[in-house]
Amino acid sequence: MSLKSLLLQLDMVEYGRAWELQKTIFESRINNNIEDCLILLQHPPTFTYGRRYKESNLTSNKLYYENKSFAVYKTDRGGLATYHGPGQIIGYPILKMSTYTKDYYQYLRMLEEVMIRTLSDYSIWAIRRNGYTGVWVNKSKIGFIGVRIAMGYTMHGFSLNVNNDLNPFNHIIPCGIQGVRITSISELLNADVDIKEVFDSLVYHYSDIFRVQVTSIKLNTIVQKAYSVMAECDNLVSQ
Amino acid sequence: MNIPNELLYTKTHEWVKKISPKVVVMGITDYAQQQLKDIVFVELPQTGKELKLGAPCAVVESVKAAYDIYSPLSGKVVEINKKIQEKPQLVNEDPYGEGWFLQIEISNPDEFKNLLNPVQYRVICEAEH
Repeated sequence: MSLKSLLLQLDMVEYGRAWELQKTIFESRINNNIEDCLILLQHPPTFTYGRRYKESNLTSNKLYYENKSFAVYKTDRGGLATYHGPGQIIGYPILKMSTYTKDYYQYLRMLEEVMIRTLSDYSIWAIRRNGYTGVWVNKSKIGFIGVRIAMGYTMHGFSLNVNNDLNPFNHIIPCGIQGVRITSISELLNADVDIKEVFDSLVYHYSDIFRVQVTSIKLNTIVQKAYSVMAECDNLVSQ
Repeated sequence: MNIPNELLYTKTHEWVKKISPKVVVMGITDYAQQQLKDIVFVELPQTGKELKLGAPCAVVESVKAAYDIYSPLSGKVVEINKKIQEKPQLVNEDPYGEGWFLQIEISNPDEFKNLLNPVQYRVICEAEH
């Protein structure tokens, strides 16, 4: 394992803030000023939808979201509507994709594999379903994928239900699939799960599947790294 | 891999064809559509929008991934292909014909020198494989 990847593991981060952070790191990565990076975090209750958004993907009216004070974001990832909330792990790999695979589809399969192997650590036998990107246990969906690829670099990523409230999924048509059932690790095991252990398991399998050596980095350090480079660029421009 | 001789190309897999002294038509290459496979959505800019060389000008989506498309030249969008918004699979079926994206009135003809000829473009595709 010679490739290196940064790991930025955060706690609960508001969706909009995390999106800004992603964009900053993504820009830095494209300009080759930072190494590949995996961001792991959780979001407070948030509905997001991709560019192909259709009003019909949200089954409840706006009042539901507002009453629950859920955030709603239209994003620049692929895919349709989804829900994020506490107890769900979010992974945003910001990578030069060709380092790992030249095939866009293979990249999605690798993200699925990370989740499938993590679930197998909990004796949950998850599968892929042909034509439905994501991770499934029987007929229920447990892992979700939506990415953006620009200039061959990736952002956005995957989410895995650990012990989150599943009710909010009833208020959208997840990924545009009518009547799909959603599940989580704790629902399947009928037991409480320590989300910290699931984070560790994801990092282990990510490092195995992408064949990278993961180095933890602090938020301040990565932001300084990204911004100092930007400041340097500004200096060059003003000179 | 189909790389027509009469077109010019970019490193990011767009093609360009001059249709009048100031107007070009552009789209994505056969190689790009093969990589993306089933295209389900295309987002195009509005007519009149000013484009900058190398800046994102459109988005295509296949299954769960959104991909940025880059403007091969600077200029103003004078026409968009509404047909591919209704039937995105046209981009897969006929990338150099019915699957075209935009017509651009170019503002800087000097930028043509940045584009690749078919031989140079083929080298890039083969290097990626």
